[in-house]
Amino acid sequence: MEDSAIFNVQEQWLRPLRCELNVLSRPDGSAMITQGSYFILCCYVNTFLYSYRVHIFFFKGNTAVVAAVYGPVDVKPQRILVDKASIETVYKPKSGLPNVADRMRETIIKNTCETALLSAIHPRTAVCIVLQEMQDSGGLLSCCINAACMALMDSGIAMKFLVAAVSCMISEDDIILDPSDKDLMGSKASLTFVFDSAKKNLVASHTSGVFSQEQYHESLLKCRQASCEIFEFYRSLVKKYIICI
Amino acid sequence: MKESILSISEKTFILSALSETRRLDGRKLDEFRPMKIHFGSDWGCCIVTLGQTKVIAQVSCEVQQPKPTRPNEGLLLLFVELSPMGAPHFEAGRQSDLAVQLNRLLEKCIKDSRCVDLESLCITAEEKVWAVRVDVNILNHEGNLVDAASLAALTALSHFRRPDVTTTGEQTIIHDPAERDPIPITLHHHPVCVSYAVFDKGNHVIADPTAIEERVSEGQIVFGVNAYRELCGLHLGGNAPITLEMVNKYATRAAKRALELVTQMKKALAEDLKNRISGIEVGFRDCIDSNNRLSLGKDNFQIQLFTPDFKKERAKRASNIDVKEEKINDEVMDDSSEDDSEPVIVSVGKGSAELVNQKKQDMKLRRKRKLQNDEGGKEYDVDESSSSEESDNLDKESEDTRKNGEPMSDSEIQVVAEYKGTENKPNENKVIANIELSGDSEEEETVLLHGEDLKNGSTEKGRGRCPKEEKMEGDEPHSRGWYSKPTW
Amino acid sequence: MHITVGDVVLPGDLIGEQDELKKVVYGPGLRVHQNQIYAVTSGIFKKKPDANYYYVDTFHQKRYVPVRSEDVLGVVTNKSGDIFKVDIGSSEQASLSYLAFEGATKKNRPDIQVGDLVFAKLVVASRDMEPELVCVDSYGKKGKLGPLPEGGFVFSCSLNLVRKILKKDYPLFNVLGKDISYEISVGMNGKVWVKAATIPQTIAVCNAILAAEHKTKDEIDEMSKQILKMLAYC
Repeated sequence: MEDSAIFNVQEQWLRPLRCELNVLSRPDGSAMITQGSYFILCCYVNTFLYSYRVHIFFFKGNTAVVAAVYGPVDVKPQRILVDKASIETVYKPKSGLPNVADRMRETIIKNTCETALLSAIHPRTAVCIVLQEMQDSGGLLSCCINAACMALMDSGIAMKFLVAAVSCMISEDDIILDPSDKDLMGSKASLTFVFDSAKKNLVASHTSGVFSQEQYHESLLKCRQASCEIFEFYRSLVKKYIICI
Repeated sequence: MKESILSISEKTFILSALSETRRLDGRKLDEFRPMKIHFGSDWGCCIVTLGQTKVIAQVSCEVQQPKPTRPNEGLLLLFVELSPMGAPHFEAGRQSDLAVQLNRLLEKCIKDSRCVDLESLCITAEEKVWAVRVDVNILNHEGNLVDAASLAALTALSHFRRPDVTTTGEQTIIHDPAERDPIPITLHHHPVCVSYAVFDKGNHVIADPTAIEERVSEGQIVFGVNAYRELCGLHLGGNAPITLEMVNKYATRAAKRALELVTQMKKALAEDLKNRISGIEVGFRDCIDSNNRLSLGKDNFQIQLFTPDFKKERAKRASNIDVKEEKINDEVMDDSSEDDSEPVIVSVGKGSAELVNQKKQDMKLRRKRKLQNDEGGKEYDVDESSSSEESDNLDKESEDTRKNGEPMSDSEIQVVAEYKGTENKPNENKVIANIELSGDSEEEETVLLHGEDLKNGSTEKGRGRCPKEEKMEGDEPHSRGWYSKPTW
Repeated sequence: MHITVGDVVLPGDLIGEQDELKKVVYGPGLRVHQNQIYAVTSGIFKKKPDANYYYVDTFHQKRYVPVRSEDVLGVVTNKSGDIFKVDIGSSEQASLSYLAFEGATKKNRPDIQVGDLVFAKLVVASRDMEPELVCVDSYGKKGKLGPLPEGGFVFSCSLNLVRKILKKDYPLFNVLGKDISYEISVGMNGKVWVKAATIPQTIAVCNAILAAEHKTKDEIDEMSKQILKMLAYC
């Protein structure tokens, strides 16, 4: 009984994020994000005399990505755009050559970042975003987008808004937020949504699998709610770094 | 993006600093940057950090048909990838000269030294073998990619577990990791690259060059050495004239460094395994230091007078500068207790390997420096193992004085006697090692480092040195005390 | 959400509405879109004390984007025809004319080699045009501009640090100057050139500057003292 109650709570939440900015010395901006690891549920148990704080641990994978940004920098003549910066994305899997899925991920990240950047103020330049997979335990795409966004923010380049990506999956009867690779085994469909920080509008959506229209709308709403958590995380992260200026 | 051009003032500054035996980041010429290893939650995945150089390696495997020339051997493939993440002038998807060079160096060091037991990767001869692939990705290029990449590849290989396989007649079953515990790859020995940069026609040689030092340097020497002091590869790059003596001298030092690296790697591997068994979380979460300030602006800057270790040491010294001997003894104790976390002597097998811990090293360095001062810099290269033997004694000596509280002179006599007694020991070790070497590895590639110097070192220099040590011990009882004597 | 001066802002944060009647300048890090003012970088929202000038103090920035009339430090990378090409760390290399030096004529050309350092002022810095440098002021005098003398060392740091150490009341240079005599030139593009009498002193000054990045004024005093103390052991 109690177990299931806890699991219901767990499904509502995102795996905890950890982020470090400026991890690399060579790029203009860089960020390392891990999402997952131990999920700590904290409850208070009140008894007659004492109140205890109980931590319950779950293990839910540990997706890790490092992102680096150069920009605005010089651009190759064949990629030059006269009215805005051209955005290049490189996604490196940690083993082997990039395959089709990796290329697609690259394109999604590129398009998302293009929306977030104010590329019109740096015409005839390039913004180069490089992502390196470190660990995939589910939600790699959303982790990549979040890392890219943090690296862009760290580089100080002008952005319209920040973006936050949330992934979810549709199992037989339920929608599970931020699934780990183990959860994904039993999925019918997995969806990733990207929202902007200004109006929480949908910026990008990537889906695979079979689902109904209602399920799509429901997961969209859920993810949108969860995206606020990520934006809160961004803000607290920036505040932490600003203290030491 | 192109690599930005190096200004003349940077070049001349680095060269003139080197002529004063100084480096931009405060290191000594033969000092290496600190190295760290983090493991991912997958098998065979690790990040190696060398100063600010960061490298990630991942090992993967698949079943393939063997080469017809070697039907019962598995395959080992090494790939070094330079993405723009490492440095702006690296291009994605194009093999640059540097990438080819790195690849070749790693192949020389790891593949050609035959440290991986390829025969154990065979499933059925002429049909199915495991092909092990190592991908090394450079995350941040701040110099000395070779060392970082080779160590990352080696660590990942030692960390990796391949699925178990059973063959029954015609059928081959590859077991899921959940079904049967995966099997580690057998490594015969652990070779790593240690590189040096050469300046000013070979007059200055520095260990572990940074990116800017690499760009100014005239040439580089890369040694592939394993923990048994066997040379597994040698690369001389650039156009600096390099003499045989130099190669010998730095090979000896590289061997020492390799031993340190391998010991550190084994320690990290053991810790990771312990964590996995006891169910403690593993993964890259710990590489993120969420409580620090901007991570590059910590204690360690790219340009600094001294390394943080030195600063700490200095501060300690300054605070204890005019305390009496008892206090100093305490301090020595403190030092040793700090060093306890490091293994003091680890025999890595085959009798010849032992870790010289930090304190001893410093004592040794101090002795060297002292020698340099006394003998006009000619006898700089003290033979390594004889001096480590001595520093053992030296340690014992200081321990004795600490324990008994006896005056120095008593223990001195004891130590000298002890020293003479153990004089031949390293030689014996060497002989044992030699026999074993010729027994199981390829003779033509095996180079035993300073087998002969040993005798000369211990007989000629050793005796003359003893009184000097005592004197030194007398006027400056601190360990690492030589720092306070400016020699430049 | 209401944002006041001194708050932390993130890109996309709505700062307020544009007031047509008041004369307000929106500086770096802000943009006006359909009469609404948004932040475009993350940092602290600030206002100049004596003017209606608002801007965002970005918390971290390494890449330089040229701004007119800023003084920058660059490396000469190429000599071609009548111009030098100078790498100032921006997306495009800046051009510097042979004639933009004090006393330079068609005959009397300045003696500058590839790899030399120049301290120059940006006269053209538009997003659509190549940045252009000069080493003279409007009276034809060189002032503090021009090629830097031989020796010394140049290093790069974040733009925040440069802005920080260039503040008038910043104590670092004075504290260091009491014990070390040194020449320094700080470009707004994050390049700093230092020359002191000896090599350890030069390294000490560079070290002090880099170490100052995340330190308060009191900490800087302490840190400089420590560095000077260390210098004594060299």
